Amino acid sequence: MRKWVKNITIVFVSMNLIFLAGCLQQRPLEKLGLITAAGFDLSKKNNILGTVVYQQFDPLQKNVTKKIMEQAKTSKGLRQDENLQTSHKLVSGQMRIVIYSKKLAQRGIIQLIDTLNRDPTIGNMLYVTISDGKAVDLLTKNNIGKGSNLGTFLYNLIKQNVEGEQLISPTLHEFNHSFYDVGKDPVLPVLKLRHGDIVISSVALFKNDRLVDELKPDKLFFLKVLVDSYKAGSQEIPLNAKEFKPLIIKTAGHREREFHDRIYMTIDNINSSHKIKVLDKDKLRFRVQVKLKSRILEMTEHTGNRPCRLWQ
Amino acid sequence: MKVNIQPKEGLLFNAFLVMFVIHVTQTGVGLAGLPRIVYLEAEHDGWISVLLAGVLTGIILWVMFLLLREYDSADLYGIQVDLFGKLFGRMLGVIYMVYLSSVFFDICMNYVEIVQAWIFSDMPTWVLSGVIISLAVYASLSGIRMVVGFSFISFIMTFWLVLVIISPLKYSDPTHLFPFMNTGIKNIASGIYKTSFSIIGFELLLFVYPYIQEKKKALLYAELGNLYTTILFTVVTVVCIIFFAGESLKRTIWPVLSLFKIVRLPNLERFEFIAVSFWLLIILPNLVTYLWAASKGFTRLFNIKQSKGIYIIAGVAWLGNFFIKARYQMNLVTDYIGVAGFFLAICYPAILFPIVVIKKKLRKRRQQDEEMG
Repeated sequence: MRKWVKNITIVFVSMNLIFLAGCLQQRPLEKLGLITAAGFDLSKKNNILGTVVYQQFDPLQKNVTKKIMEQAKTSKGLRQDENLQTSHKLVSGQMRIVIYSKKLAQRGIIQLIDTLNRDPTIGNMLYVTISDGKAVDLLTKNNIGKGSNLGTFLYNLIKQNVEGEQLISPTLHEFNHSFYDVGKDPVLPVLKLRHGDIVISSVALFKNDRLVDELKPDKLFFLKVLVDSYKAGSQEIPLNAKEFKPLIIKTAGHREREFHDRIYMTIDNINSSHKIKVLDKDKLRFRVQVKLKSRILEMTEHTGNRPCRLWQ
Repeated sequence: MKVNIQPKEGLLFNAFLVMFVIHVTQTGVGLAGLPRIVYLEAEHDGWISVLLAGVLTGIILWVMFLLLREYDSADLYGIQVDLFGKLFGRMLGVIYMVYLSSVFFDICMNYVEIVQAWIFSDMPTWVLSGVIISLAVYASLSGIRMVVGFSFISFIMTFWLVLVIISPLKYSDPTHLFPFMNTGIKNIASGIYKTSFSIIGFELLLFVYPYIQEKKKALLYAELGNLYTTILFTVVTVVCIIFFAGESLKRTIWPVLSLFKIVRLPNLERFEFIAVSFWLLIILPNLVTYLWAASKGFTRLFNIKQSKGIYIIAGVAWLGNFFIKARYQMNLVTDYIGVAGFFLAICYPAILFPIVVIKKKLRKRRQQDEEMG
């Protein structure tokens, strides 16, 4: 009797495993459109204009990327409307980068970010960026080759610069972290269309979820020193020439020349750490202590080897 | 019914396996949400609550052991009957059975919800719970040695998941832990209380105890298992607190699974799907052990075959899934079970112990009186 029951159990379990495996919605790769990049713009009142770049796997064609634009009120509403325009089911599991236009970012983007957070198919390491001008133009009017995948291109553009320590990492996780944390606000890179190429033009500074200011890339160094820490970055620094007058050897160059009022110096292998201390709680005064180690790579003037202090 | 169980020699298992049984039954579906639950109570000092809860559990384990040592080889069902008489003892036994079965049900329900939220949003609850429950039935039908062996295998197979926690550390901010200990004792205490749902599982020692071979060593290994659980829970809570910003930790229902989102392997981009699937291996021994312990009550209290008890409990638990639909209902059930766990697993053995001691003394005195008279 007992053995009979046991056998029934085994049969029941294996039946479960075999037959129920097909009960779910299937997702064959050939029938999916994998969204790699998404752009959001503000259009009219209450409307957002969404653009998606997606890739489909067609056995006959190679690397097909397509773009769709649609207007809706919410980002998931956009997805539905976008699906009406394509033969492939759009899925967001491979999304690498989202772009919000500057105008939208000035109004606040946390609702749009929140839906990304709640969607379990979207990864945490997605890059969040801002576009100078319209995100649609950025995604559709560039002349980055049709064969290559635009989403992957943009992803690598950011990734390469984050790894080279030129940018503060703008992943979704870091956005959330800075947004929800006390005393911290997000910083995102700004992309710009320049003669058909997409370049990183500046860095957007946020107050909560609103874009309030921009920082040119040459100033980013100072922000990164304060927010993040360098491990092996490099940077060009302008210095006041007057202070180095005694050090500069005029005749050491290839040719004799009067030096300019500025000396430019590029340093690399930067290793930095910082400490911020509150001096006055009421007036909010802070003491910032930055430790910076690096080596000089290039200089516009020759100097002697005497040790000196660069910054006061 | 007899108070003591005398299992056959072949059914006994090694004392060191108790370590795995205790650790594995403690670690389960509760861990996935634990950091948020304690953060809601004790903010950034939540990890202290978890640590103290672990210490408290260690003490309770010791009390349990003292309690069990008063008898040769009894389980809780037998002890209750011995202490409170046949009728009342059986009633208490039934209460404990209901508690164990509802923990079984709750673990299953919570895991199904995790799977539905993360991977298969369109999978009906009854399908998944049917598969999981039949697996648990299959394993627990084979008896205690299988239950214990399964805990061991599950530990070996899932223990590497701990190492994955290293990669979120890169994105963490240790300053979240400061200022240290400023949330107040009251909040930390309520954090301890809230941890109880995650940390229960050690009370199963009361049921597996008769089957341990060298009973004297059992305490040591049980404490080791509990120590590992405590360290693991505390580390996970600390990592979650420094990884997430406070507000976002409050909004993340399963922070431990969200932690895995950051992990990225070269040809496996979304590690959390693997983690959620592997979570089944973590919760299955929980289910199996609870089911076994609950159904044991049928044999011990009513002389019904254990296999019948297993089918009854599993059937009821499976049917229970049809009644609970919304998230708030699940939260309610989980909260109730957490409270029940706090009283039945943590407080109850501590109350039971002095009663046992007094009863023993009374009995001794009576015996002496009889001898004298």
